[in-house]
Amino acid sequence: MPSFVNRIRALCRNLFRRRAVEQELSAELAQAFEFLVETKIRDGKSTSQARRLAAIELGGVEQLKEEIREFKAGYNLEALFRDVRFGLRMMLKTPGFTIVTIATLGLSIGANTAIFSLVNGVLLRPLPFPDAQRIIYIEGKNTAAGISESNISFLDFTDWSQQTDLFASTAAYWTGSGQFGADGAEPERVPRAGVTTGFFSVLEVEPLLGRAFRPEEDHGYPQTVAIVSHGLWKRRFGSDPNIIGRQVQISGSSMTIVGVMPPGFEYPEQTQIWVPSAVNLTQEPRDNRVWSAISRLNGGIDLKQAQTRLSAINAQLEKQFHETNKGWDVFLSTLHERVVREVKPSLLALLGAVGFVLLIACVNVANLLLARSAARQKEIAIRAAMGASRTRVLRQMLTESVLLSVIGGVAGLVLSLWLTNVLMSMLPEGAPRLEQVRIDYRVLAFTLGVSALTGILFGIVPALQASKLDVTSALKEGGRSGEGHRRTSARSLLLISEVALSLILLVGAGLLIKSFLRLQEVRLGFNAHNILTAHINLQGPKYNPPQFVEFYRQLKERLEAEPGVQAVGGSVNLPLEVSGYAVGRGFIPEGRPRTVDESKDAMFSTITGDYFRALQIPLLSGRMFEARDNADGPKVAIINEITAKRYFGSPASAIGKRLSIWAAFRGHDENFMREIVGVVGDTKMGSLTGEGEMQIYVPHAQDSQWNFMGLLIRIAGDPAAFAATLRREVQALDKDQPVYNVRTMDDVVLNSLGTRRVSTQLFAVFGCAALLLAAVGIYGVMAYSVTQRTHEIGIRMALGAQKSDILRLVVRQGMTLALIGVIAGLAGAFALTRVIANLLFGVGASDPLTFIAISLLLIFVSLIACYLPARRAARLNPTVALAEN
Amino acid sequence: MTIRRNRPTELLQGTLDLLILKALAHGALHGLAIAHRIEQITNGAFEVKPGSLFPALHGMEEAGWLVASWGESRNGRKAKFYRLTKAGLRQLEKETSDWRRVSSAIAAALRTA
Repeated sequence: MPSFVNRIRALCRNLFRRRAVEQELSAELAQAFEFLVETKIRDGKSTSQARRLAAIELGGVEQLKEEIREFKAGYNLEALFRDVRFGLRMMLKTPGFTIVTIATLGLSIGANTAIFSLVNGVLLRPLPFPDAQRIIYIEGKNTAAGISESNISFLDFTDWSQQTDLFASTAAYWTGSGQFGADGAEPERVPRAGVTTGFFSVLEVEPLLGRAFRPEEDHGYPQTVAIVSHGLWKRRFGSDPNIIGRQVQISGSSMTIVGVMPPGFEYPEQTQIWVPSAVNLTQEPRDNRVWSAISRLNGGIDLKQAQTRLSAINAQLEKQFHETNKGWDVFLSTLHERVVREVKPSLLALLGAVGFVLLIACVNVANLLLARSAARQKEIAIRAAMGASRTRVLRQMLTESVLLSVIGGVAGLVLSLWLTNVLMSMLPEGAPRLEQVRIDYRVLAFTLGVSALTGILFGIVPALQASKLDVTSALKEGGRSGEGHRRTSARSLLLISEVALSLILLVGAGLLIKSFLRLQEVRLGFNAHNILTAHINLQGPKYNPPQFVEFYRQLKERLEAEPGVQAVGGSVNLPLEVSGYAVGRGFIPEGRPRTVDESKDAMFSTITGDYFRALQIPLLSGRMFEARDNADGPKVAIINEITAKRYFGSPASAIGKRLSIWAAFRGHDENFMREIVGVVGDTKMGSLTGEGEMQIYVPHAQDSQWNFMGLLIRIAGDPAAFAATLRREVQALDKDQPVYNVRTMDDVVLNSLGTRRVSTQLFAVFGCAALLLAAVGIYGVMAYSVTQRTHEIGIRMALGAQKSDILRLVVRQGMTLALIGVIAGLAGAFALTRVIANLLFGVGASDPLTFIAISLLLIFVSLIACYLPARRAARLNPTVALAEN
Repeated sequence: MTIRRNRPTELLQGTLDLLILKALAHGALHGLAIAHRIEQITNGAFEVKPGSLFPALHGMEEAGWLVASWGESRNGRKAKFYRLTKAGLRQLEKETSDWRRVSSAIAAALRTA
């Protein structure tokens, strides 16, 4: 490759011995000139004539040199260096412009990077399992009953798992918490999962130490072996390498540790202890839909094929087991889809919103650049006269803008480190996959790409304008501020798009804020203020059902004796508790046949103490539970208003009627009637957005199987401050019982909003940023336009225009553009708000009120932004204005 | 005056390279003498302007087809002389045969009705 070697040699020479190369070039051209002169003289021309003709024939020496340079190796590289150097000099020369631009870009690129870091960690990074896209999650649904996602039944799962041609492996599991005690240390509650033997092979994760479970170890309750997480091993066992074989106490049973998982493995959720599932197939009811299931697809099988097959099997099961499977179908999704399902729409909407902010920032910077390129007309004309081609000028201008945006991007990247942490701290607990959020190559590539793209985006219009310039007239004007028609229309277009973009973003923010306000207005049905909640899960050999009841009764008495405590109650189901149990059971009113078709689904709460008084749920009819409603007394129940109205006519007429509890699964239903003794107000149980949930309450003393309770303590004063007292009182009763999930009811309500609150806040922030940028942008364009038109305004005034005429002239010019922007924005918003329709609550995606209000807001802001420069124009002194040019 | 944006097209560029190589086949020449020589050997059909000539010469030098050295011209002035290298000679042969093939193909095409 001699040619290649030559090129490299030439490149080195051109780059590192530039002075010699340039000197040689000058000498060569000088010689050529002399040669031409001599030729002309020989042809009989006079010396001066010959020189003139030679100069014409050779062309401009500097232009010629530039043309030669363009053919030489390394020209592009060298030109880039030169452009960058020159760009940096320009930046230092106009520090105000540079700082404003880099700050605007840095903030918006930083915000984009931060949001993208979240999107990347949560949505883009694959799950940390080999071939993770082949792992699927199995759920149930019952469209007829209005259940769109549900856990599944173990027996159904067993039937599906037989399809070994579909699945390489399958596993079912449950999650909960376990009471973990070792070496006499204080017991604590840690997240625990009970898994079938296939669990670790579905995920293809091997224990770091020891081994996975063996099939014969899953032999029912109680389990005798456990696997612990790397974190727990480090924290509680000091990373003891001899841990395998150790005995520990988990929820009152003695278990042998057989394995330690590798670092970072905490599936599902934040599980620290895995135990065998302890399923007892002979007693497991088919409609006990409490199981989660995952499986690994065989190679060559896709989700759709698996879905079709399982649905077919399910149709069979529904026929065969009508009592338990009526209406139930199965649906599959990839495990990744399932994990991010709740947060995906919000995250994508946020990414879109923050992208809009960046676009608006780009428009602003483009405006600034456009104004500056007008001021640089003369410099650019000189460059062109010196032989710079149009591409060369274009490239130099783009180099300058990309330089700005890349510096902005670096600032943004640094800023995003902090912003990402702020974002993460704002997210509600239990938001998935946050541990995956970090700066990785994708985030870096995103920031770099966005920065470069931004530079080109805001640089291209001004650069095109600058390079299109007519050299002769620009030089002749001598820097006089002649505003080209094209430049004006480019600026108008920028103003219009700025208004339109801000309007779209603000409408989105407006809709979300309105949804959020609607959510705040939702009647909870209880008073969440001044309540402390906590969980207790009684463990150990000394507890059995009668003691469960007795423990909570005693605890209530002790707590009530504390100063400031107004009411103490508890329930197996606390309202709006995302991580809590949601126990659904059916009931059948007296007189109806006891079949599945008669069963009505209701939220079922076994309660203790003064539950209704603690939450201030009103009693509409009848009475609350009393001491006489104990194990020996007649069986009673309290229902909520909607249940009373739906099945008994009214709260008053429900009193004295009877019903039977039809269990969540057969085998646990009560074979006796309960008398309705009271009707209470409706409360939101599952979520703020849910409605019309039927509720049944029974006293703990008459349903004493529950060892766990969510406590509610109503306190005069700050409920959070009561946590220490609560712990002390529980310890006084039994020092081995940890109190966990201690927080105020206000927090529980807030947390139930999930990511909705954060995304609304962020949308509001982005909306404000957009409004501010738009206001500054409009002001900038109009102020600049007034400066450009000073001369014209002077003439108008000299010809008799009044101050009000000038004011009107300028405002009309700006507002015409702003109004066009508003109309374009409304059209855009109308099309785009559909995307966030599923994030809205109680407000339509094209809610006219929001659209009108946001339009008015933008018009108002534009008016102010136009009025200020207009006032300055109106105050011009015509003599001064005319003298200016 | 507006900024120039035109540049010799690829085809013309190739033709110019061939003519320069040919002009140098019988010995070293300085820049404008090459232009003069091309004019001669093409019977005045090609008039090569300095704006095309010099960029081409520098490009070909960097490609290793030509080497330049400073010497004395006929009238005793110092000038930059260009001379073919071995690679340049090979390039001349290659471009000549390419050109013949193309031109005879085009001639054949033009002969058909």
